[in-house]
Amino acid sequence: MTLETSRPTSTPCADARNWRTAKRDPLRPSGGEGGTQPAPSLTLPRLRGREGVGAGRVRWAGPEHMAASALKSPASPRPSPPPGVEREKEGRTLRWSQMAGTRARAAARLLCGAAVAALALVPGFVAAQTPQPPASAAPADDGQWTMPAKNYASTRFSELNQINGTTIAKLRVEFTFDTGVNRGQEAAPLVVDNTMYIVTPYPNILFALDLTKPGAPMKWSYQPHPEAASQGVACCDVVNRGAVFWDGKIIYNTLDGNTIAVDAENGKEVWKTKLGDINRGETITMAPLVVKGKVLVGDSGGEMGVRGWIAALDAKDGKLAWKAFHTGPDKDVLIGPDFKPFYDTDKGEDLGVKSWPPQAWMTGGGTVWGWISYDPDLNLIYYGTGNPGPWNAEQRPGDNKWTSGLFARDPDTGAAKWFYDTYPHDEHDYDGINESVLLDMPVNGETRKVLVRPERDGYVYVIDRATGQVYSADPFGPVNSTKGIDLKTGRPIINPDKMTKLGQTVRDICPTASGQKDWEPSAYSPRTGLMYLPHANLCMDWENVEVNYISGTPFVGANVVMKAGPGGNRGFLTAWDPVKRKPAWQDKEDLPVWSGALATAGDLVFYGTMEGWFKAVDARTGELKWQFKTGSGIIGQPIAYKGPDGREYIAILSGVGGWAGAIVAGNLDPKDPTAALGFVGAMSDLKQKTMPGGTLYVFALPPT
Amino acid sequence: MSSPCRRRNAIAAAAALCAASAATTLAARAQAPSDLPLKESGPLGVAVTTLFPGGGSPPPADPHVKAYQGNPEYINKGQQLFAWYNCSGCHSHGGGGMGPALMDNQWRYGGRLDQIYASIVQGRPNGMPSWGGKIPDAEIWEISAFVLSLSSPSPANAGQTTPTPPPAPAAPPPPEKSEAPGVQTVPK
Repeated sequence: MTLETSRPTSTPCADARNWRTAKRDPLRPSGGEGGTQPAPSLTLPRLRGREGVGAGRVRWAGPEHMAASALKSPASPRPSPPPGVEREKEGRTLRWSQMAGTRARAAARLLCGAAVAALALVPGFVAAQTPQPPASAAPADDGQWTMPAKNYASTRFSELNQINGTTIAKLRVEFTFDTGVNRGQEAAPLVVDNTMYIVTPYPNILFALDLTKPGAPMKWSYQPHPEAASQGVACCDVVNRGAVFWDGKIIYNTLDGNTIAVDAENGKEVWKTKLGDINRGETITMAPLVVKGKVLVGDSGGEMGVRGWIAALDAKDGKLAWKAFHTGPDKDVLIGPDFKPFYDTDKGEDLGVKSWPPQAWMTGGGTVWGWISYDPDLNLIYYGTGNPGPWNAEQRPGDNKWTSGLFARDPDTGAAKWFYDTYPHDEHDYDGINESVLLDMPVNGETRKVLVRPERDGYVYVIDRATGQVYSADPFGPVNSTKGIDLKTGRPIINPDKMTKLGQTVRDICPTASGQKDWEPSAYSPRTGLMYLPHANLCMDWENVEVNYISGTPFVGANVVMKAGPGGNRGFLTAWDPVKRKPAWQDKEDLPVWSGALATAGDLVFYGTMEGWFKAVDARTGELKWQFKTGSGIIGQPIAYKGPDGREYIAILSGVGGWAGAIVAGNLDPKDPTAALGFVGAMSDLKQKTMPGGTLYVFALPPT
Repeated sequence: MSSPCRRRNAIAAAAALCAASAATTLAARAQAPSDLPLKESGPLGVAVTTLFPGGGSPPPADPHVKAYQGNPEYINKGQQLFAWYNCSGCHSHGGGGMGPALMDNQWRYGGRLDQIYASIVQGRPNGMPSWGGKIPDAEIWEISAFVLSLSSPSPANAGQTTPTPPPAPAAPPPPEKSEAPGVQTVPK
């Protein structure tokens, strides 16, 4: 059986629906430099539609609904929809996907036919409307998975479509592999040349599995033997977010601060470069990214008073090419004449010193433990910086540059091009380390090169990736720590009621220190035009306490207790429409969704839950299509690949942990709700739901 | 904001000393029974196992155990020091985090007071720093007394059953509309 892949432009039916939804609800005129974005409605969105297969599923008024409204507009030049596909009934929109059986299929065929006809009349129209990643950053899918985010645009989208809404009922386990490490499994497996590579949490073992043989036997394993003491300075479980393949080598980081290149063929160590010092609290948990032969690596340790940095190593020999700090004088931050931030508050000399109390920048955090994207056309890398230290913001008056923000840099030299300060003087531990999905999409009627970032502070930012200008920032969950983002200054409008204070417990701050969305990466489907955000729904109580800096120990200064957010469910998978700036649908989860998402051309979205369910939902409706209970909670990153037999495979590591699952992975005591920096308060029942684990699961359809 | 510890010092050792001296000031040390002799072998003689080849039993407790264990005054001081030296940064209020829980009566390296003291002085291989020479001995005993007080007095080897909870949510769900005014929500 031959596996078919499909590029977005080859799917007129899907794109037709995007076309129908696109541009009907142009960006409100609040965008651009002009004004302050009005605070969104204070009421929770109205739930729509019927309950789906998954209990507790919520559907927002989605793109189809908007399209139906727009179709009534006399100004619309678009052709009418096929009759019966959508209809107004008692003030509610009935979606075609909700229709039963043959009628829905017939309607779908009609819709496809009409859309294809329309496309033939307006060539090129679809591509202009549905946001697409730049081709240079998201080349055609070769069926492999060589970096955690799939491509430089960080779409985590597979063009494989053998597994789809029709066939998925037959999806089954093909093989499993026990890593022997029962800590939080956050890594994405890699697949290169019919070999799968997986990295475990500490002790960071690298396994190579031979996909050409039944059961995928081990080819080799590599043990880096990181320092055991590094476990004591890892803030939030001893996780590792994966490896990257480059030029015959698997390159990854170890908890004790080393970057290692291993020969992909035989598992021999090629080079090893020590970058972090655990006695300063530095660990490394992020997955590196290789750009133009340079391995980009950043540190963890924002809770330990480290001075955060990003470094570039030569992929050939591991030698340091450049290193940029995120606090301190401009020369250390690699800020020079090329640095042109969009907003005035980021302009000035040595702000990395001046926006801190004397010397506080030396222990000020600004780590890089998340995701990096790269635009080959602009030759810029994009990555966010972590929280300032300590969490107690009263000990560090000032904007605390360049923490909790977003950098664009030249990958060749490290020179900073622009910076956007997502959360100046961060009072709530809103690290800016989340992923940036690179898209070319319509903004105010013009196609712009943007990056879309769902942030810890609860907003989805759409930012011009050439200039750093914020076009929009919309909440994707309940937020009260801020009242919106002032698009004129770029600064959040701080809610004074939720500012943190010494010796006073400020209650019900939303979102939490872990954010509306933490590290768990989203996926973007160029077929649906939707971004799939795995995230939490939590709020917190916070009390500042005085803290001393003692190197190699925590530098936090806050008592935090987290709890479920409005509605009681602690997690969501949200399908976000970046053009409409609102969700298409949301699926509720009882526990925070701490796994990454994978979108495929089969129009499915895969993700895992902390109970251990591995799920596939319809990319357009959120309807649960398939699920499998794995041995432990899932906080990993699902991938799709094409096996040597031509079949499509889906792989995920199961093994609960991370910050959210620390109560289980670290056997913490639920009697103390402040444990694990307050996360135990929201997860006191997790020990009754799952146990630690560390197993790879790989799924496929039966051979035909 | 007059405390010298508010000023960050790049030199870690100096900063640690700064914290140490402040903490020393905090805890009046006059009443510490520092005149008690350490056992001949000191904390290094503390066994962290209950297995003794050829028979035997744990060595007798260090004389400090009797003086510190269960003493509310030392426990109280130990609690303050637990925060001062950032013990709480890893162990929270006993529930753990970067470090293990201290309130669950499970001890990797022994739960006798002198065993806890030894763990703090020596450090432990999976991430516990060695505090010997960084914190005055009397304060380590006070911290140890506080740490021991965190766990319930039930026997360490007692079996424990955790009932499976009913299928209801663990916590009473907050109202659908947040009680907190000014909450922004997802645009419709």
